[in-house]
Amino acid sequence: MTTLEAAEAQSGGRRKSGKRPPWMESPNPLTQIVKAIALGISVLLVIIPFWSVLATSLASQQRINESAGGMIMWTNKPSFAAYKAVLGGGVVTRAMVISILITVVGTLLSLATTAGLAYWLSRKSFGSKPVLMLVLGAVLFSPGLIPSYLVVKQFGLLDSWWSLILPVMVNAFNVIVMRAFFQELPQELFESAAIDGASSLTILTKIVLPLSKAVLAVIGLFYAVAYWNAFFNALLYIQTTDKWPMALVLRTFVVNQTTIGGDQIQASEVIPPQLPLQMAILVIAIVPILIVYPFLQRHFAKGVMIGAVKG
Amino acid sequence: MGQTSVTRPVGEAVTETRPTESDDVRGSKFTRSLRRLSRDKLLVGIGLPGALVLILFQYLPLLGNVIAFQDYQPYLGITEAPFIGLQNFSFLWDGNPAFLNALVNTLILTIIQTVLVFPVPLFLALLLNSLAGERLKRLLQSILYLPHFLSWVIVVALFQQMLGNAGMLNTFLIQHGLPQFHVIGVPDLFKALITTQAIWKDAGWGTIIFLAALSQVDQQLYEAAAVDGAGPWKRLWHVTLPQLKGMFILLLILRLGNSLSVGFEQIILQQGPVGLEASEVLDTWVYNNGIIGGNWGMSAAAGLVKSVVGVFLVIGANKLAHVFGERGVYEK
Amino acid sequence: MSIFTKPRLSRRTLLAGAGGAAVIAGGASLTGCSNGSTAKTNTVAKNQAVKLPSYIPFTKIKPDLAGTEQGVDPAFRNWPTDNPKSVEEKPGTGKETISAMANIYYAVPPGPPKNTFWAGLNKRLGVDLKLQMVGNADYTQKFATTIAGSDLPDIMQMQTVANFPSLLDKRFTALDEYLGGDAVKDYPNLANIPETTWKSAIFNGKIYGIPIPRGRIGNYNFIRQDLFEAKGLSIAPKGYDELVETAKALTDPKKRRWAFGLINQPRQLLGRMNDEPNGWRNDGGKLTNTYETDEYKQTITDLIKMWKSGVIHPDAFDDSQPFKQLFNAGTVAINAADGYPGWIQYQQDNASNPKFKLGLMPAYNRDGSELAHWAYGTGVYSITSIKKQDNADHLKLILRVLNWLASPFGTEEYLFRLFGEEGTDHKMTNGDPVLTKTGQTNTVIPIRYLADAPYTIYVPGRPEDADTQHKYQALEIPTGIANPTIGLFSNASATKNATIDKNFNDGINQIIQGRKPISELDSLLKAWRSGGGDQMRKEYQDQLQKNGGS
Repeated sequence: MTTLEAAEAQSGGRRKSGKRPPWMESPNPLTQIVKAIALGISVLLVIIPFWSVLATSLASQQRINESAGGMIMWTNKPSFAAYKAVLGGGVVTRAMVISILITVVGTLLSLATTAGLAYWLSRKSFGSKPVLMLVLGAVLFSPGLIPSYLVVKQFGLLDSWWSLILPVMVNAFNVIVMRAFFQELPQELFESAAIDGASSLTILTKIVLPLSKAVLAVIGLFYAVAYWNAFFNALLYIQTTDKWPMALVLRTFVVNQTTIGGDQIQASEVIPPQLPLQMAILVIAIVPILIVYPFLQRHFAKGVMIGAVKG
Repeated sequence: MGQTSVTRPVGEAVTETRPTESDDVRGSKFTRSLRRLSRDKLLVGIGLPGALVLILFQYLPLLGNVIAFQDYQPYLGITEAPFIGLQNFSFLWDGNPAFLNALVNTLILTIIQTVLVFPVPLFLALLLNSLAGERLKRLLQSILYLPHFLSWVIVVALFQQMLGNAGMLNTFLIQHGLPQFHVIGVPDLFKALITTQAIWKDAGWGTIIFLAALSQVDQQLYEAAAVDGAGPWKRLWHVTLPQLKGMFILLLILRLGNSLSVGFEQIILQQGPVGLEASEVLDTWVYNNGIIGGNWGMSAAAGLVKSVVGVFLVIGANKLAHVFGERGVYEK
Repeated sequence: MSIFTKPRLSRRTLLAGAGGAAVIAGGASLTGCSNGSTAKTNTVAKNQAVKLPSYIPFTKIKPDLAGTEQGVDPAFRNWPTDNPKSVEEKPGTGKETISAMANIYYAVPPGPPKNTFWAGLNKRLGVDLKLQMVGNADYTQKFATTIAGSDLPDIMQMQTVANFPSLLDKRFTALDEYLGGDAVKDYPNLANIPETTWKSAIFNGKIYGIPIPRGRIGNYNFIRQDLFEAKGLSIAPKGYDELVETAKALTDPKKRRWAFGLINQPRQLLGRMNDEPNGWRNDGGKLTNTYETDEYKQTITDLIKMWKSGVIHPDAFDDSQPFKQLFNAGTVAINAADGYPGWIQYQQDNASNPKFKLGLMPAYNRDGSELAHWAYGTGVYSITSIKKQDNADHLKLILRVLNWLASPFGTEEYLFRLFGEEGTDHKMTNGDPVLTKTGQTNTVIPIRYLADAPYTIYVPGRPEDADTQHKYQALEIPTGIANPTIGLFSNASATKNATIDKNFNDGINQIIQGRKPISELDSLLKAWRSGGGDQMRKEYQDQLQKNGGS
């Protein structure tokens, strides 16, 4: 069995879940308690406000009035009016589909280009040092609003979804982080692969990437969240509202309803109250991420055995 | 992080075992470079698309920063706007007390954030990592990262609702005749409030990178240490932390590159009640004194200043890392 | 921005509430614009000499309560039974396309054909209207990039920016040939816009856009009349002492009730009471800004006392306070100086609350002897400009479309553009059009920011509201004073006012909250003056003097 195959076999290794490894002592009860308290408090600090968000999204105007126009912790008569208002028009659901497409395509492209670039820069190679400096420069210097707009316009990307992907496809920070992870991989693997006559591409696909599931999951998550939440580029570059991604559509719901608006409103059937509307939008925006995240999480929350290298 | 069994300095190429090109000193520097290019062409080819996109969409617009030296209005082209030299940078040496105050606030906040806020995800990650149950670990992490997805508008509103002077907590206290708990709208507590909000919002999210780094740790190292008689704290100190050192330092250096940016959106939303003196930072000062008056040139100038300062900090921090034997962001 | 993950360009992040209505004043700037090419052309002499479009009011529909020349809006209790046409011919032939950009205050609607209203609109206009909608809070950024990109839409809702006259001169068309004097007769609905309103669209001695009219009243002092009546309070407190008593009676922190919400509201109210000028005081050509007056100092002194007494909501200094929601919940009882078109929204939001009663509070002077001077609004929301072009036919098409969009209240076109198609978008309930859910979603396209008719008071389903509002306007308008700088343009104001105003008010807020003494006002004024206030004053004064006093 060549080293390549051995490395492949090992990359699937997992620590058994829930069971303590034989060399670990039983935990000190005092430490347990302290840990539990610390974590418990942290979790409560997060859960309480989110619970309030959820509860408020289900509140009726009357309930809001009872709580002096503020958020609530409980309502006896949940109302789905806010959710119906947001999802009923069809605009949000359509925009959600657009966002999903952009996120999936964008994340895949981003991962491919970022990994490629990070891999190149992690090896001592032609151009790797100057390009690394270039990437670092991109982290430190950010272009202004109008020049970015002019560049996108110049490339004819206005009103196209590519204007939401290409300008942000490669994030310099992510490149540097991924490069750091690649550099941590044991050198022996590369050397044995070279002896076996493997090309750079083979090394990348057969050794580096399989062992980098954790960083790929993490950087993939970072990109995905960025694509999903991005509204600003859509604001500038997408002129037809039918092409808007979800983040921008939701933003107009939230932001505009709270400004000194009420300008030019006409009589109509009941509109859902503003605060539950905002909260409902929050919930709708987060739910897809909550669904996807656990699948990625298993790749970086668990330990990975790379013991075979040393064996 | 990294295997303790690394025998070779990292970063050297696979080509170690082949006769190196550097041995072949024939030809000029140029032809030597070409030879290296041809040798590495696959590698370069793999990395080039990413580099190109970066250059096209980040560096090309950076040329637009020439606005910093112009009296620019959007209806004039960049080529038509008159050149005014360093006038847009005059806020640096005008001695404007509001600017200096903003600078001081920025520096204080950045120090607080680096010392207090930045390490929190590390501790949290260690705490989570030390849990034995995978399911529990994942569940907790999923909960803790939730606030990251809220926009600052919502986070500020939430804090208002919970801790505001007319919020849930204070209403409860008023109704029961208890002394009130004023944190919002108190100038002296502003920096503490901002820091708390930053921790609440992003500490959970920040654990992701560290957990990923921890997941790369070879379990056999722990086993070996345990066999040698090291208890959990010793293992933490001698196995876990060294694994995270590299990533921590990397993130720290990159953070320094942006140290003059301390949270624009978060702060501008909360300036009203506490007043500008307590809350103005560089970014908000530039906004309040430049952008709202349509002064694009000054805003670009301020951006350049921040970036240049960031460059010096990164170079300095990286050199310092080298002194301590760390790799930093880039090697020598 | 998180310090743990990738750093992001902070200046590009936008905020809620940072935008706001873009109100413009037209006029002249004599002192150095940095691109002074129009300094010679944008003078008062030139702007005075321009031929404003003739005013030919639309009279085919008679309101229930007539408007007045002074500025009271006409009012209708019910939707008029006769809906005549105001435009004889369709503006377009069905083959042309017109692009436009305007801000929107609501959630974006779908585009045509899903949006049957929009599709119907296109049919009636005879053009394909491509309207770019930008959230109100983001309009400034979008406006700047669009101008920089030099690919302008045909019609644009404008925002006052630095060197505004130069911008208009370089990128937009002057419309005198088509609208000046009697030429406007070709566009009868545009002729329905009063002369004073057109003044805001005059720059460089030419007409550069169509103004979006607003009522002179500007805003109302909304109150929760039910809360007043529950405590047996008069809805018209006469004088300072009675106002304070009323405010105290309405306040009960234990029940989460306060009299006032945002700090600016009692400030405006007291400003009227203390006889502050409207923006600037004009003493025979010499201007004094409100901030500099003794009356303003009195207002601040009053506010210090009011804040201390606790009748103002604790979050009053927070700009993003959801004050409308607090009003709906009864947490604040008075929403003073709030935009008057908000009347309908308050009624809507609280339709399910039987106890809710919306009232209007008149402003009395300090000793309660008579009404205070009302501060007139600007009368204009924004102007709509047409991009520079040579094609006269296309230009006339655009004007015909804008003419259609400015159709007066009660006409067939008005019914459609506000309420859409009967059956799908609205249903007639007791003779009044009420939007359906579909209509609610689809009719929010911001065409009313491209062109609109003068404001009319009308609350469908609530005829009594027409009387209430009309009575209030009739009461307050005669007392009103105008801002003497309306119709004038100051470049210093366009570039510096936002900053010096913010700094000044920040200092004032510190004084009100008791963190700084009132003597601090002097240094605040000094900073305001040297930061641009004096320059603004000079620019405005020069124009007034040329004008021979106003």
